[in-house]
Amino acid sequence: MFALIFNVKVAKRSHIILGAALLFAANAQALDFELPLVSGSQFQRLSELPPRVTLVNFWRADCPPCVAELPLLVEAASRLGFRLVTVALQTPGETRAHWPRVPGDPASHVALLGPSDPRGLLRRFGNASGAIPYSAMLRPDGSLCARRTGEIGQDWIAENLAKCGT
Amino acid sequence: MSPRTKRFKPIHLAILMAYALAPLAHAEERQLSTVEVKGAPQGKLQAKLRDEIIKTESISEADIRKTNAATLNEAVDNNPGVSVQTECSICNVRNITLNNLPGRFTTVMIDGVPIFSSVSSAYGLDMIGINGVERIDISRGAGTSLIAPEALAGSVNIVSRRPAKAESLVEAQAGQYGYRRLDGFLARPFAGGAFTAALNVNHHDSIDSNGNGVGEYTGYERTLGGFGLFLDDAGGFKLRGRLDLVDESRGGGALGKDYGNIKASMSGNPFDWSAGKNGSPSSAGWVVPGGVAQAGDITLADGRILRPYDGGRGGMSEIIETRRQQAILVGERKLAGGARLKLAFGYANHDQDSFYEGDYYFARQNQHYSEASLQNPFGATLLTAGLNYRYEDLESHGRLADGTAVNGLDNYIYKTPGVYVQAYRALFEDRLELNGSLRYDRHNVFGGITSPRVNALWHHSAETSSRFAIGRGFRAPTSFFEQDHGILATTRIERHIDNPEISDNASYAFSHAGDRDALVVSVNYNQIKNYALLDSGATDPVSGAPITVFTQSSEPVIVKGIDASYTWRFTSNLEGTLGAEKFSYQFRPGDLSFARPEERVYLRLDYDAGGWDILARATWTGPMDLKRFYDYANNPRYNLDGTPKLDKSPSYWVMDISGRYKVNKTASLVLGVNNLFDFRQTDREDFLWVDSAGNYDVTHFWGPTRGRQVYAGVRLDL
Repeated sequence: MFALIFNVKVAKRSHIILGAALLFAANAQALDFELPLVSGSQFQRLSELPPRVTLVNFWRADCPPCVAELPLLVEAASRLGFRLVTVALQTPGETRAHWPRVPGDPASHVALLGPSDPRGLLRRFGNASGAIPYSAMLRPDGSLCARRTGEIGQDWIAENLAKCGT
Repeated sequence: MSPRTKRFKPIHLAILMAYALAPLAHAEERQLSTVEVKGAPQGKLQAKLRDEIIKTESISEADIRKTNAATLNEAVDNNPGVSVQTECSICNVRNITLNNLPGRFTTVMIDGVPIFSSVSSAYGLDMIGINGVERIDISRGAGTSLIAPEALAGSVNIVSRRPAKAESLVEAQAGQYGYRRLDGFLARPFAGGAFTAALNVNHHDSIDSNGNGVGEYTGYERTLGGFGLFLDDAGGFKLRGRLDLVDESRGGGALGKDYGNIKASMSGNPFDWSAGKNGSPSSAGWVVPGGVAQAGDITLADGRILRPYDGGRGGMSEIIETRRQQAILVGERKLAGGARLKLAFGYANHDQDSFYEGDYYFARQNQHYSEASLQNPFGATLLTAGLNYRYEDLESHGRLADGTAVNGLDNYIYKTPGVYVQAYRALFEDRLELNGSLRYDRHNVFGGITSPRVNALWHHSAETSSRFAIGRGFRAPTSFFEQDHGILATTRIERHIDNPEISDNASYAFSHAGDRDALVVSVNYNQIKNYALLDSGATDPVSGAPITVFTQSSEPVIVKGIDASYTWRFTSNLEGTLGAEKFSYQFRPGDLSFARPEERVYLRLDYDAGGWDILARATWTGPMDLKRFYDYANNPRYNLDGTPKLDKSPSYWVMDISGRYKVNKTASLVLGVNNLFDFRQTDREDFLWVDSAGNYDVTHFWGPTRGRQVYAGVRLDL
């Protein structure tokens, strides 16, 4: 088991480097995914949403900082006019238990369920370590503009909105 | 060995403590900056392949809940490359087999501490509760665990969940065959830590499917209690500690729980040997296939010889009472310069008080484990160096049915200090990750042993990767009945064991993690040299007394396998998985004691919507070459009517469905059925068998021991 622990620790370190490499690759192209909506059974392709600055946030209900920042993100999206896409990395039941009704305006908040194995998706968005909460801000053309592991605040959003909105 | 008396047991104290301490804990949520995604968001057939250089499949807490598992064995069964094998129809020894290798080569750990050994792995894996578990990690292959080189087939690690919020859970279930289950779980976070208490009470009756009066599914009464303590900063260490207490009685063979009466009944025939498929022509006993009569045998009208049974209820029964206490403490501390220090300790005391068909056997086993390791970056390489020390003993005493005292028959003391080093480095812009390790152990009986291991992970893209691993492990064989508890009916063990069992393993795994699908394919090669064997049928050349010969195979056991699973998400609420495995076996006749299939197919559907959480899974088990595995050429097996046992077992499906419906925020209903198609081995062939001389045994296994079982329950999240 120690080998496993070792590898988790090692992975955290190497993933910082790997994440940077992935970020570089991600910067150059539009990011996309196809995931099911929390409400209903349809799938939503990110690239089929109207062009707009988009904040993609990965979360789980058993992650205290994730749960703490979600209401702030929903409120900020509505107030500041960007699109919030939340991706829940847990079962549909756990997601719906947390959100019996998806909060916010559907025009500004798209709530999705993550894949059954989220590693590929997280790596694609520059998160090789798999740590959450994780947020990635995309330009209107879908390319990656900014990202952050850990809770984000109003300042981070405001600063990067200005940078990514062009 | 003495009849049990009602007394205040440690487990009662544990339960009282749990509820006494609960109000003292503060309901304060833990504040963390980030959480690592480890558990699978959805349960599925192939346990999740964790994003680590060593191929590790994880079964999440959500998946454990879906399968309605109460114990470790139930949680890990029916996954490609992972299964649970029963090895005795009247005592239900159960092992976790990885890559279809014998269960003794699987090392079970709790929070990374290997604390199960020969005695506790026989019945003890049924006694590992899984309340409060974050996930179960399974790594297949020799050397997958740096600290447990004896894991020749791989390791199973139970990771305790550090609760983030206050939880109070009560769940009660009842079902057919006297199934009753009560679970309680309490979690109370407080400033800088958390406390948990878990309780699982399980009851099941013995099952006699073919009506001969000899059960095939062993009944049990089991109480598991546990406490967890998590401290985020104890002198700079992040600590997690566990205390687990086990109290179990199980009895198989003669039906009923009047164990005192069963043990006292050692003459007469209370069974009907004519019942069931290929039952004897007479209820009094069974046919002697070789036709050679001995004193007391009867000649039937058709000339066949009948061996009358006169052993009473006790002569066909095995009754095992277990008490176990185990404690684990793991601490990790960050040091300057990115270094990390890890200290781990484990202790277990395991008592087994047992009755085996007239023989009495008491065993006490103590285990200690301690570990210290330091991880430190040196330039672009991350180095880990550590020491660990494993101690394990066994002390037994007992008496045979004729009153002969047998003391210390299988006693042993193993002391194994070890040292290890591991290096990790990423290359080619981190597309390639390499990990090499080397450990050296100094075993007090088998001397110095070196175990190397190399792992490589290649990222083809963000979604796809390949893993390669090659490694070696060793295991000091023990003479406890992990292989054959017939040794208990002999007077001594003659040991011809000079070397540890050595396993060489190579594996490759490809994984793809897409938005809607996931694929894992793995190929593995396992070779075990010096395969240990117990022959309990030998006799002392001088006295003629029965003895056990403990020896090693002259040829290696080689198992090669490929397994794959593919998951597709149909809708947001429905996911399906298809899995398959194919294995081939190379071994000297008689060396592998139990039959294994060459193919299995797994199907699974997960539905999660409208308050319903439903899991349906079906496993197809292909035919088993019984003739080869059970070595009919040298030891033919017969039914009680004297007809030969099947050369090949039939293929069969077993389907389980379990569902949970959330009535409201507090209450959920549970409803499920195991073995929906009601496939039972006894409908085709009994677990009992006789050899040509008319001696019986209870180990003819290839199919399910229990038929369809419906259960229901209620869960309250308070």
